[in-house]
Amino acid sequence: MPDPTESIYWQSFKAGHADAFEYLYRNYASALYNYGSKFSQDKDLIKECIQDLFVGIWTRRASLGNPEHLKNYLFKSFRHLIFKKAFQLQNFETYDEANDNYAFQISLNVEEAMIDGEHRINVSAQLNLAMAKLTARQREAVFLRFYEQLSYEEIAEVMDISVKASYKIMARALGFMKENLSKDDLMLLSLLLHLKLLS
Amino acid sequence: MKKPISAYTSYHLEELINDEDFLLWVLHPDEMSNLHWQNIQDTFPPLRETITQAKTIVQSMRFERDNLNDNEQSELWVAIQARTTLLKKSGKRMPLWYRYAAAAMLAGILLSVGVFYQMTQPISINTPYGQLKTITLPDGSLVTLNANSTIKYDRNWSKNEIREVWIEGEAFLKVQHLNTSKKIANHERFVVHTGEVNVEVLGTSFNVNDRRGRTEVALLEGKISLGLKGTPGKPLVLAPGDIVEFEKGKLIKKPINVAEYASWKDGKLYFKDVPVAKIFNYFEDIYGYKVVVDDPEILKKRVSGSLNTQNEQVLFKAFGMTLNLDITPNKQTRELMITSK
Repeated sequence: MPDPTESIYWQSFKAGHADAFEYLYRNYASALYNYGSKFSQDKDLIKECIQDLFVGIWTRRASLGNPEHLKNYLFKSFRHLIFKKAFQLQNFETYDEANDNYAFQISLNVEEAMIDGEHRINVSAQLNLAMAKLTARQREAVFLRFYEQLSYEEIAEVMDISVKASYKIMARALGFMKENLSKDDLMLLSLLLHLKLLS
Repeated sequence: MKKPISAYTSYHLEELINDEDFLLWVLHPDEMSNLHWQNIQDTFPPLRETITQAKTIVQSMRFERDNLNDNEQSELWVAIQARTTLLKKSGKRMPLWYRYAAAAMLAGILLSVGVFYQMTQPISINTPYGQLKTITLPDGSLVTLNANSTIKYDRNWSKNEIREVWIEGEAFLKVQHLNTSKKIANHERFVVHTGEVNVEVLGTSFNVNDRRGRTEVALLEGKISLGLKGTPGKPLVLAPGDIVEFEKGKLIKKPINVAEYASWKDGKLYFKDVPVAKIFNYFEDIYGYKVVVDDPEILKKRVSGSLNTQNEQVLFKAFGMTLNLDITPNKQTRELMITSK
């Protein structure tokens, strides 16, 4: 595990210490909630999945290994729970992940800092329009890459796809956005999408 | 750094933003990159402005974040604790509790009676007109209480007793599933009491509406059974998607879109081919108005659509526009005047 403190907490959690369990919860609850909210508007559903996730790891703590990246492990399990639950509730009409038949809504904000009012609104609108045209899977990859700053390997792990597929999904997303945005918009976008694209 | 400084001479804003090293520096600056970029700016002063601009732009892009506030985070943690063994572990702190108990006795019987009274007094929560509230029950089950509604339950839920709540008005419940084996123990049972109906639950989410002398129960997930108060007859078992109405001593199953039915808990109101009269009933129940109609024909119209219920002003306006009506709330008399345009 890259973060040594986290590794200590993880071991302590596995040994059954409630404090360490609470630390893990406090550390990840809001990031999980943010991620989960992109899949569904149903806030209760997301909270319930967070509950299930933590209750689950607590009950199974003795048999859990030492995931190399705890965050990926939690995100992946959490994602799985959301799909399972959303399918039961039939929020997603058919549960067919392979065909992108799920929801993942993100919106981008261009902060007021530098760009003036009207232009900012235009660029935001353009960006969000282009985002909306991507598939859910592409949006999810973009989110994990540029918001959660996961590597392609990590995205592949969380989304349960091959590393090659994660590169492909991202390349398609970027290609599509290039075609759909003006040069000005593209400039703004590229900075967003380029954050760590080549690393 | 991969590039020689001279490579940046002719850089424009766009190229800069596309530059991996540049982004790394802006997002994760360290001593070395600070020095590197300072060096570039000193060597090519005209670049200084471009760099400042590009930097600001990069820093101004943000994904919108869905926030879990501190309160919600803590509520969720309580629910998690309730479902894990964490609460039982607090038994280790018994000696401390004894000390408090001893102190309470010293402080006088009066005080301890007061504490006892508070501990055993059932919790009663009600919502005013126009406001929703989400409550976490002692077992971690979640209740969303609609406006103008009341829930009552015991403060402490003992391990061996049936979980019970009493509801007036309307509520959406997500019940924690405790049953692990085939045999159902007492504490795994969850019963909702309303005016005339008892709802018996096993890990599920459903909507209860107990207003205007009738009870409606809609099931979204899981399994529940309904029994009439005081009649030991065979309980009616509901499957997901079922809605049951109790009126005048009878339980009737009706087809309805259950997901739409409980949409109020997300601050929305969905309806499909519903008589206007029913929507007005809803306005009365939720916002506390008495609806006054100038032409009773309005009530017979049927509407479909979706409305945002968070703002009552906007809601009335939107609904009025859809039906070509003037809807004017009178704050003094609490009347909602409906007139055709």
